[in-house]
Amino acid sequence: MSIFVTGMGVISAIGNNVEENLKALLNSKGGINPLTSINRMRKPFIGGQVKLSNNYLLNTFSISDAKTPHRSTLLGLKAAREAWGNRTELNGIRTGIIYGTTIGSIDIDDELLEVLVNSSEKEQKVSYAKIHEPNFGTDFIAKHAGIKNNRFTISTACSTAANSIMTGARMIKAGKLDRVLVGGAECITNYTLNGFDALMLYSNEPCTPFDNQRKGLNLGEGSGFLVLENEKSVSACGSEKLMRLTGWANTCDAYHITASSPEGAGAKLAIEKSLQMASIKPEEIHYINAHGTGTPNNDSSEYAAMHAVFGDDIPDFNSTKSFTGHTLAAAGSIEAIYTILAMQHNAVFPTLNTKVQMEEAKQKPVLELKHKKINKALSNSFGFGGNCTALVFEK
Amino acid sequence: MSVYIHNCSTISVLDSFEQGILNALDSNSRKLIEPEYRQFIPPALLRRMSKVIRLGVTPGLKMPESNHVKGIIVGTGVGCFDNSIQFSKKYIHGQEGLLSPTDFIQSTDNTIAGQLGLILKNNGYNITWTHKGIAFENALIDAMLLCNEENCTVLVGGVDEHISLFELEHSTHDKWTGEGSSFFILGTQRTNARAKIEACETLAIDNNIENTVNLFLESNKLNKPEIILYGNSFLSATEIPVSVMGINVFNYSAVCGLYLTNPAFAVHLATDIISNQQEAAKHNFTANSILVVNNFNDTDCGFIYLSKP
Amino acid sequence: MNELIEELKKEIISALNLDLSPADIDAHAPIFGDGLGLDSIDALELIVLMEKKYGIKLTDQKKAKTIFQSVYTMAEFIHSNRK
Repeated sequence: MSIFVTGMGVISAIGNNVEENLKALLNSKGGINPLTSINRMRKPFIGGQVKLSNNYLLNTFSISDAKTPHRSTLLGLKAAREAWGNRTELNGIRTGIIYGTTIGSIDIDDELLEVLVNSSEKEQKVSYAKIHEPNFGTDFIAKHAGIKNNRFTISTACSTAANSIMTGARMIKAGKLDRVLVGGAECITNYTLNGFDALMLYSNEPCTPFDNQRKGLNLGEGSGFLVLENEKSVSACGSEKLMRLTGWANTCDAYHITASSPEGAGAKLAIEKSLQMASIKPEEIHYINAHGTGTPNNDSSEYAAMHAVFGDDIPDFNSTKSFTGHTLAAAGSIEAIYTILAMQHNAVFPTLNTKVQMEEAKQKPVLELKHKKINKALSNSFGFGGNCTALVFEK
Repeated sequence: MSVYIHNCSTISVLDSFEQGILNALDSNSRKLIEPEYRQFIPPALLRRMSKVIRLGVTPGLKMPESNHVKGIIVGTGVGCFDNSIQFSKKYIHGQEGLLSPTDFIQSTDNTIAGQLGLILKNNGYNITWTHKGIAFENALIDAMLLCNEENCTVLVGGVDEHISLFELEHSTHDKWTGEGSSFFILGTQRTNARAKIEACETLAIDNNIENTVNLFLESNKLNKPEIILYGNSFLSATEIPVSVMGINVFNYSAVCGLYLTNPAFAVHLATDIISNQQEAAKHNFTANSILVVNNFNDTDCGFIYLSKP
Repeated sequence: MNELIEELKKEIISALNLDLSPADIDAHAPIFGDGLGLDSIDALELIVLMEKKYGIKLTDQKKAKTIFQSVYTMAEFIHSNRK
């Protein structure tokens, strides 16, 4: 049975919709800059901010709900609406939504958080529980898309949205759903800025994935959503088939709570399993959108995994985090969309700012825009807890 | 798409970790009875674990079958929020200089599943579901899918710790805040199974609960169950009924307390009832088919239908 | 130095939440890897400890690894560099 991608929506530091993102990718226009409009930053961080304000988003959608959605939910709604388009409920077409966010589950801004942590311990826990609603975004977006049942919220840190896509596909394949809206969203907050800074993983320069002198990641914000459908739903809804999702896999590195194993065991396994599922040999892959955060650990571990699967001749690979920053829970879906765009336009986007090949590597990532036929591609996403997900797309 | 339950383990306000739920049912305790975590969790990892993480990993570690599963799936409603609060305090209280990272890394909701993978050295599927009061149902649906896809065994569970939410808002004899962790070994093989899960689904409440129960039974082609284990995983304005569609109801959340993944507790209780008919009879439960109904927030309903294997 | 070593042991136990008493830690034994089983997150916590308690900023993680070989090497470094 084929799983078709029939809708895409994205918002990031390099554009507010698919077309704008594509234009930036083709023109090497990155979005990593000094962060503005985040109050009480402990340091002058740089990152990939979405250019639209919360007020703008609230007004655009004429949102007047009792509870004001968190920025991550607003970004999610923007991308979801672009992907979902004018679709409506359809008799006989079982529809669902799978969505995830990391920070968006702490549905509160820093000022309120400050009040919370200064109250009594008991009050803290109560207040926190009231605002900690990972499902809020899911239900909010579902309501706007007219999706009544089959609502799922997933949380696996940086591989979240990739897992949304994967589990959506599995539900269609198992015959539980015909059509599913899948994705993730994230916004930049002091919580995550300080968290990655505490891990000494945050670079104060634009990230340089797979560069020998890489100093760490920059955070980004945004959202990506896809619509996945089976043949029955495509016919009934008259959808346009954009791409096929033919392989997927999720594994656990089981090495350390945050760091990846030096040999990238979990990543290697995820890549292999996803190729196996698609019945594709490694040499058939034309392009890889790597997780490529720009941290010393991820990039060498990921390279080792790719080398173990593909040998000395790794297909053209890049990291689009050099454009957007690391969008955490949204990364998997934003980058799946970039992978599809690369395939549609037969273009491997560059890895910005990277210059020096890693000592242990036999090749660099693609550094300049490269035109070539891309029929089959792989997208990697790895998260805390050793979570590794690989997705395979085909024309 | 059914699965079999091969083993269960629960930490709760009952002495369930040692005795199972049915055997410990008569206790009136409302305080969590915790095991000696040191016996299960390596010290190097235990020292970093907040309460919810210890609570989450231990039932899985108790069951020897966990060593052979192909997937680890966790449902949690509130996740590792204590770590989030602790990390937030550090930077909000205006500390200069470096911040300690441990609370940050332990605060992602998938830490529980990740730690299980690490301790069990399991490279398989590893996912966490967080849809508040139906997070466990989300996880169970995923686990049932995985078992059937790969013809394998899976470790799945639900865990949440105590939050004083209900005490401050709405507390009655039957509705009080609980906490707990229930984990299961699921598989496709009937041999040595304790119970069978016929179906698991969540539905937006359509008019009323009875109507929604009917919708669930019809769409899954199931007969009326012999008993219903009914509870709330969160605040609900409606009282728990004495019967639904003429079927007797047992209020499970009155026993384990309200917490977002308490349907997992009910599934363990249902498994005990089905697999230990003698003990079940002492409590006037005799049933070969049980429906777990979770009224979450008067908006959504989780349904889990169990039967004799 | 002995006083510093004893104090440092207590600080390490507290910062890393170790289930040990100072007497359980051999000042000259390696603390990473097989020693006390410490990992990269512990190394970061020790860097935080050095800054907060002893006013020493360590920005080079590789250099920090050498300093953190044992409680004794840490104490020596603190003794020479504290503010």
